[in-house]
Amino acid sequence: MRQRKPVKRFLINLSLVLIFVYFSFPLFWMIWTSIKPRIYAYQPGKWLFVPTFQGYISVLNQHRINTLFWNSLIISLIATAVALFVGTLAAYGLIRFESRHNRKITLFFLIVRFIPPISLIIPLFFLGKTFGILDSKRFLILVYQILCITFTVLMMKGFLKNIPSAYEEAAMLEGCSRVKAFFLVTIPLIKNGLFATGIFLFLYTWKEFEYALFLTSFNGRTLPTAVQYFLATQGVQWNEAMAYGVMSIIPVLAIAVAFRDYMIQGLTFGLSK
Amino acid sequence: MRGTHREQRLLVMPAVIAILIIGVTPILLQIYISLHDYYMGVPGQSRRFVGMRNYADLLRSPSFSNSLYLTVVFTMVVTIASLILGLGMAMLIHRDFRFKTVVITSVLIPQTISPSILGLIWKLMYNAEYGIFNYFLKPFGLEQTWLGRDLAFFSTTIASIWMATSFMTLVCLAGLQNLPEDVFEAARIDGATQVQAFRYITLPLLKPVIGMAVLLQQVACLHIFGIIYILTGGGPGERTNLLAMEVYRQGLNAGFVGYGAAVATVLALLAFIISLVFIKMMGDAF
Repeated sequence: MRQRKPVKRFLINLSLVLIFVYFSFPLFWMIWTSIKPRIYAYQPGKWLFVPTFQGYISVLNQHRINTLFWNSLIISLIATAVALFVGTLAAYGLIRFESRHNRKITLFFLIVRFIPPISLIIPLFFLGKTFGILDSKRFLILVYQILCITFTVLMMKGFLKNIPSAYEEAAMLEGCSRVKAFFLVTIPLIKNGLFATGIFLFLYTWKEFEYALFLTSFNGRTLPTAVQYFLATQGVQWNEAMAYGVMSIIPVLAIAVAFRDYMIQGLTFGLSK
Repeated sequence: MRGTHREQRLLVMPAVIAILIIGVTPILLQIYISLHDYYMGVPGQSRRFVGMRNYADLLRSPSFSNSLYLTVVFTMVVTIASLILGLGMAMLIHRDFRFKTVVITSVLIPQTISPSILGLIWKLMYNAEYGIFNYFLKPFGLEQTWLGRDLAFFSTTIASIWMATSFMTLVCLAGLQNLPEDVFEAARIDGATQVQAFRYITLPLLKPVIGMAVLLQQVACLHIFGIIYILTGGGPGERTNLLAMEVYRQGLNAGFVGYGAAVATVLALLAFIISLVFIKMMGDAF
């Protein structure tokens, strides 16, 4: 019974290899091009060459990549922390307290979450200009909260729903305040959910392109917008462009490898256990 | 121990107020701008109230109807293709094999790269002179100008399907993992073939998950901007000018701010309609 036909087994293994190639080839091609000497970057058939880090070195020297990297890191970390705090409290409020408005409030967050970013850029540009915060890290962090807070509320509601309130109630009968019970009892119970949500938020803010492109010009610029430096009029310096690409995905790629399951939880809206 | 309304307000209000300020204010301002005649870069330009004229212009504009048409086709094709590919891949991955974690990690790759950098990578691979696709096709005489007039829409769709397949595979895989084992056991004992098990057990049980994934992917398609901005910028001509690109071209690039805001409002409205369907489908889950 257990023995499979070898042909079938071969076909399944072959398709698994193809799945791997399908998803990882563009990444491979980016890394491969990034270590090619400049002239070979225009010769896809050049499979044998002495790898060089010239592209990486010139990216680090010529452009403001360093500043942009730190901007990205600061913006992502702060935006993630703020949203986790504000969003989790709101999710807790919506789960633990019964009110006829709860469903409406949740749907409100859901609808805002679905709005395409590009369709908010014109008014956000004017708002930023009016308040004089256009092109600042603060403004970008604020704008990212549109998606970050709404996502956190929806996601953390799912995790909090599975935690019985009996633990908190016991702690409160013992004399804990609700705040203390929340931090000492509830938070440890949902720390996996917080971690998965946090990873998703970091990933989103790190990759975000539209808001950063149109709402910043110098001070608030993040890594994904540096793409413009490489799309010069005299053609693209492909080995440099790809070296920049590789460097910019290293942090999230490391997270993806180290915390794969948490990342999948966030990406699938908590569906994956 | 039920909490009081005051306690609840303290917990929920910060998030609600934050979203009202940074999420809802822009929407209202957007609608306000869309009711005005407003060009950027024209000195002394007064912002005249014109009522629904921008919307009337938009309905008459061939450029807008082209964008709407492309957006609908793009969304349908990307969603259906990525669903079929994603479900198939999830079925293949959902078994025990040695390099399972490696394959699953590879599925995550499109999710970890910024759309702008994905745009760069695909631009390199699609290049007519030194792209990798033409390198492989050349021996057969099948080279294409991937980002030229005829194929640009096809090529951007393929790149987007690649991104979307990742999401669909992850969701379907999660759905498969949550299915009860014993139903399949019972089916096997009763002599059901694998095809029958898929048709009569897996698909019906996965239906809610697939429905959710399809709607989320449709919204994601309306959000797609960065990869197309880098790959084609909406061109050549208007061949890949999806609604998101039309907002950029009219409102941000050409300076027709009022008109661009009207296009943006229509785009937001499409997302709103999908979210209503989503809410209806999820029922009491919220």
